[in-house]
Amino acid sequence: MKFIFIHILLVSLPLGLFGQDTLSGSYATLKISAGLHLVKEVVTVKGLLSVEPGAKIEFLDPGVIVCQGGVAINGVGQNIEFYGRAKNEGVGLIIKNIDSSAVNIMGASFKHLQMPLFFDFGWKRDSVNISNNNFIENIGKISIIQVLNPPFSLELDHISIDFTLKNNIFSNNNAAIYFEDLKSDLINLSIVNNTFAGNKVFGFKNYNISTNILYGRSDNNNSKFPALIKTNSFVFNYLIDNNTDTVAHAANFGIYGSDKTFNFVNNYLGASSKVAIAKTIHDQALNYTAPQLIFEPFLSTPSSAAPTHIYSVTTLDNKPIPDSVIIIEPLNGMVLLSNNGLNLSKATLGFSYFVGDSILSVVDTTLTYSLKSNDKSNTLSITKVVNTNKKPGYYTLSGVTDNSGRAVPDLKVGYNVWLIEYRARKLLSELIDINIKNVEDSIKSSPKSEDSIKNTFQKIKEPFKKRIEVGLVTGGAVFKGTISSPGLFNNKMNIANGVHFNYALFSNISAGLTIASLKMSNSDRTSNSNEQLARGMSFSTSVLSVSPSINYDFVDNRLFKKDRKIRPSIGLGLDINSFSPTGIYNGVKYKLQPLGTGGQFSDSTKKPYSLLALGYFFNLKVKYKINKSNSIGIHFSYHISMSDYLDDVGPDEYPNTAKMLASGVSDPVAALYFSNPTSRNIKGQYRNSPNNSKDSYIIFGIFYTRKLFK
Amino acid sequence: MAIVFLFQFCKKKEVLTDLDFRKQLLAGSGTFQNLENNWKLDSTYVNGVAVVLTAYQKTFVKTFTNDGIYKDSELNTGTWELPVLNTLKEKIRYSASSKIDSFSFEILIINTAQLKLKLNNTTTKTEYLFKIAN
Repeated sequence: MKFIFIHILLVSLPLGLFGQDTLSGSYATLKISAGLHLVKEVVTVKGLLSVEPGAKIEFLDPGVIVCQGGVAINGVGQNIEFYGRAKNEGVGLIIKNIDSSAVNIMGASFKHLQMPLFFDFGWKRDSVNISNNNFIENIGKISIIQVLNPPFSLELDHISIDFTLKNNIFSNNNAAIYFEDLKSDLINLSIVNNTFAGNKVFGFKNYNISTNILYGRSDNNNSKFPALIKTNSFVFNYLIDNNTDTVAHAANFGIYGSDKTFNFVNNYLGASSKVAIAKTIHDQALNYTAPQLIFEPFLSTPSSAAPTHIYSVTTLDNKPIPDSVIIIEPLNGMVLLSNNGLNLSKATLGFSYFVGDSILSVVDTTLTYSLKSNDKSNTLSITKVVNTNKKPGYYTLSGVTDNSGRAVPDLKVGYNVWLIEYRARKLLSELIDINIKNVEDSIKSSPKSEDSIKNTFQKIKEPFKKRIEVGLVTGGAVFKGTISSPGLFNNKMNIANGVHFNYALFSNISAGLTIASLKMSNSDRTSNSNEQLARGMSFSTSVLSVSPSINYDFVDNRLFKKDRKIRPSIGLGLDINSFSPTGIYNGVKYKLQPLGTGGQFSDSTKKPYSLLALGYFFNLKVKYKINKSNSIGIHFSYHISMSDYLDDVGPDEYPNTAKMLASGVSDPVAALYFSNPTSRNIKGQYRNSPNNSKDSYIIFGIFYTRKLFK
Repeated sequence: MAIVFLFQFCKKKEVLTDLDFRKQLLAGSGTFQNLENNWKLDSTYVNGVAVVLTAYQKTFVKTFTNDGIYKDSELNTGTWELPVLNTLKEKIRYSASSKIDSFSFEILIINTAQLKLKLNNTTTKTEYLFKIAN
C-alpha cells in the first residue's frame, strides 16, 4: 500500500507541476489560475476574464483570446506572462463589444506576440488601466497596442472612457502603439511614465506618421479630452526599412489630424537638444496638414517615475557613443546612464562581430568587466580583449534589472551601423551564391529546352476549337502479310487516301483520328520466295479504316517560331478495319470470304472469318508549319492487324478438293481455285504458317492540315 | 522516305489475260514448283455414255509443262498449245512407234482440280475427265 501511494505520487506529481491547460471555445467567464495554459485557437470570453499571478499563457498561431466583458489581470512584478511560441507565435488579447466593465491589465508581461493588445472598433468599457506591464520583443509588425474608437453613439451619452497607459516598458518590439484618436470626446487618454526603449518600427525608407513608436490623430473637433502624454521616455527607437533591415530613421512620435497643435511636453525624447529631438518626431514640420507638436519643455533626462532604463552610453572618457558610430576598435569600457539605479549582478555584456571580410559568420563573445556603480551611472571597464582583427561588431548588455528586480530593456551599442555592414555582406554573399550556382548549373546540367520531357504535359490555354486541326492525307499502302514478298519493294503499292483530325491535348501530346480508304493487293508471283511462288495466290481488298491515335510531338504545340517550323512526332494507335478480299478467276472478280477458300464452308469445324478487324499501329510524322494555320508534311505508319485474313489466306490447311466442290458455296470451282491456285500437292500443308500468321501493312505519303479556328 | 517509296512503287502493273490464266491452270504458272501440272484420268464418256476404265487406264496421267512440253504416263512426248480459250492442241510422238499425231480438244472444264476435254471426231465424241495429280 505504501509503495502504491508513492507510485501514484510520483506519476501525478509531474502532471501537477508541468501539466498544461489548453483553453478553447467559448467561456461565459474565465479564470486563469497560476500555471501553464495554452491558446491555439480563438478563445472567446463573454464575461469576466481574470488572470491570477503566476499564470503563464502561451499563444500558438492563430491563438487569440477575445474579451467581450471585463478583464482583470493583476500580476505582481510582471509574473503573469502572455507569450508566443517561437516560430509559431499567436496573436494576443482582443477587447471588443460594449460592456459596462473595466479592463485592468497590470503586472503582466507580453512577449513574442503578433499583437499583444487590440481594442477593436466599437469596443467600450467603463475604464481601461494598463499599468506596470512589460511589452518586450513582440514580433508583430502591425502594432503592439492598437486602440480604435468606441462607437460614436457613446457621444450622445456623454460617457467617456478613462484610458490609462502608465509605467509600462515597451522594448525591442517590432511595431508601434497606435491610437486612432489621441484626442477625442470618448476616450480620456493618459500616457504617463512609460519607457519606450530600443523598439524597431518596421516600414519603408520613407519616414512618416505611422512609422513611430507612438502615433495617432488629433482633430480639432470632437476633442473634449486631449491626451495627457508626459514623463515618458523615448530612447533608441528607430524605423527599420523592411527591404533592407537597416535603420532608416529615429522614430519616437507621430501626429496627424486637423488640430493645429498637440501638447507633448515633459517627455524625454532621447536627446537634450531641440534639433536632435525634432529629428525623432513627425509633425507639422514634415507635413503641413498635421498639428505642430509642442514638445517643449522636454525632459533632459528621463523621469525616475518611468520604468528603469539606460538612456545614454559614453566611453570611459565621457565621450558620447552616437548611434552612427561603427565599432571596430574594441572599447575599453562604457559608462551607462540610467533614470534609476541598475542591478547588473546578473547582467551579461556580449560582443558580436564578423570573422571574415565578406562572409556572414558572426562570433558572439561574452565579455568580462569590472563594474563601478554610482547611483544612476554605471561604469563598465572591459577586462577581456576581443576582435583583435578589428571587424565591425556591436555590444549587447542584457539581463539588467532595476533595484526592484524589474527587467531593464537590453542595450545595444553600435548595432545600427553593424546592421548596415551586415546588409552589405548579405548582399555580397547572395551575389556570390548566385554566381556559384550559375557556374555550377552551367557545368552540371545541360540547358533545358522548353520542349523537355518535363514540359510534355503542360496545359494548353487555348480554347477547344483552336486546338483542332483537320487535314487530308494521301499516299500509298503496301501489304506485308501472308501474300507478300519479304522484299518490301517487290510488293504492290496501292493508293491510300484519308481525312485526319488532330487535337492538341497538352504541349507535346496530341490525339489524332484518321479515317482512310485504301486498297491493298499482292500476289505470290511477285515474291522472291520460292515457297510463295509455288503457292501462287493473289488478292485485292479495299479497306475502310478508322484509326484513333496518340502522338508525342517533339516540338511544343503552343509555339510558332520560325526556327521550329519542322515538327516531328511519333505515335501509336488502334485500327478498326473493314475489308473484303477479292480475287479474279477466269476474268471474274470474286469476293473471297463467301467462298470459304480456307475450307470454312467445307469443314464443319470452321466458320468464316470476320470482315471487321482490329489492329494497332506505330506512326512517324514530320510536319512543316507553313504558318500558324497551315501545315504540310510526310507520314509513315506500320500497321499490324489482329486478323490474318486481310488477304484471305489464313493459317488453314489446304481444303479437300472434293469437299470444296461439294461445299455448297456459290461457285465451288472458283473457291477451289482460290484455295489452291497452283494445284500443288497439298497433302497436310497449310496455306499459311500458323506461327506467323498476322497480316500487316505500311501506309506512307504526304498530308496537309489546317487549323479551322484561329 | 515516303517520297522514295512512292517513286519506288510507281512501276507498271502486270495484267494476266484469260488465255494466260487458262494456260496456268493447265500447265502451272511457271514459277517455283509450279512448272507443270499432272492430270490423271478419272473417267471417260463416249457419246455421252460412261466407259468402264480398267485399272491400268486409271493410272494414265497427262503432264503439261509451262513451257509447252507435253508428256504422259505412256512415255509419249510432244507439245501443247492453247490457241484460243477453249481449244487445246497437242502434237504427240508415240514412244512405241515414233508416229507423230495431233489432236484438237475442246476444253469443257478447267480449274485447279479438274480438266475435261472433248475430242470431236466425225463418228464418236469422246469426253475425258482428268483430275489434278500434282
